[in-house]
Amino acid sequence: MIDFDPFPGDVPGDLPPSPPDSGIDVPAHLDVLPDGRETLVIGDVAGLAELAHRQGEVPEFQGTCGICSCEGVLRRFGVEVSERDLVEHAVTNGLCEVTGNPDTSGATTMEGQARILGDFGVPAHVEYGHSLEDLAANVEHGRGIIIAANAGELWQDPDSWEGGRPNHAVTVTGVARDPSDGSVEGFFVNDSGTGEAGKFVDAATMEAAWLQAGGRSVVTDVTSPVGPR
Amino acid sequence: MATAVGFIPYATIQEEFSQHALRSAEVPVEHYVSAPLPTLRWGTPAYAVFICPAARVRGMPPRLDAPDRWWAISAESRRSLVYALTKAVPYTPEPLTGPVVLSPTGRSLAALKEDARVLGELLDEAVPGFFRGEAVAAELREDLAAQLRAVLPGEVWPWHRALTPDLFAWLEGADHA
Repeated sequence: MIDFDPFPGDVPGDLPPSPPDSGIDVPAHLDVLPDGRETLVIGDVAGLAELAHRQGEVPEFQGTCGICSCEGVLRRFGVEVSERDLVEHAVTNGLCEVTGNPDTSGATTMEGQARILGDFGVPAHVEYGHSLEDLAANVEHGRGIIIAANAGELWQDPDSWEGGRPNHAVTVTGVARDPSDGSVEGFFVNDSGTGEAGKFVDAATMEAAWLQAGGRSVVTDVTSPVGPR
Repeated sequence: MATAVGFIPYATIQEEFSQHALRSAEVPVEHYVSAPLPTLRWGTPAYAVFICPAARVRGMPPRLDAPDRWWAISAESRRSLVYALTKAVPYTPEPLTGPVVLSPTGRSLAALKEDARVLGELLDEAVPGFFRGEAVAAELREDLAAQLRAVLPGEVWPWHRALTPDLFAWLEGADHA
């Protein structure tokens, strides 16, 4: 655990003074959000962004947002695998869909994603979050996280909204907190569907995209403070 | 929690389909899960969805394969009544043809959410009568039918009709009992 005071200076007594639980186990630094606000970025967002890529490396399996998310989590923990490696493993073990249509083949369940991670030595489980603080706590403890999100909210794309139900998997790599009061301002995600890495998602959007879509995550049982160097 | 009239509110039913353990264990994240619709086809009040493989690209409407599974939850207890793969237990004897590409919504996210909210209100108002076989005002049925046409993509309308035929017959004025 690093020796770091996430909220230097005076903190108003009527505001939450710090993140919940026992503290922060990942790097943190002050930065500026896209809208110009100063923020405290918690997590190795830049390092983990280097692990991201757009899905679809295997032509016959294009529906692989869950598998690419697993790849990102495994590589964070030093397991050198490719999207192709994981597709082959998932097909062999019945952990992804083989529909006969390349566009929709490769899809995975949350439990299947947890099993893929475990098969490659990174045990994980599915859990339900009840607040953005639950998600932030997992980031701050250095856990690998895959969320079941609504792509319409995440992409601000009405055509992918589908009633707000979960329909897309992304990894969460960092959290942004207000330096003055510690409140969650948003999260950083790697999204294989768009190829965006370290993309900032504000708190309101994440609430709609993840919490209101069921709040389900695949969370590793083990931690790693930073991505591989 | 069931309402005073004994049926679970539509918003809660929607949450159940998103949060149920079956969703994590059996249904791929990427799959399209339809809007839950009420039905009595299994002899007890229920909400049913069809589920199909889906491909999405930002800025483009989803492309859906024909449903490969379906699922019904009790409208009284939230317990799953049935979950099946269509290749093992088809929900209709007619073939479900696909893939289909949904038409662009042409609506903002805010407008879609408002449409969905109104649909939920109409279902909560009309469905107890449907489930009990009681008379429901024709105007309410017409409003519900119109809102379903506004919210449900036209390309998947046949898949909905095949899954909850009694609802559509009722909306069109036939007695489902």
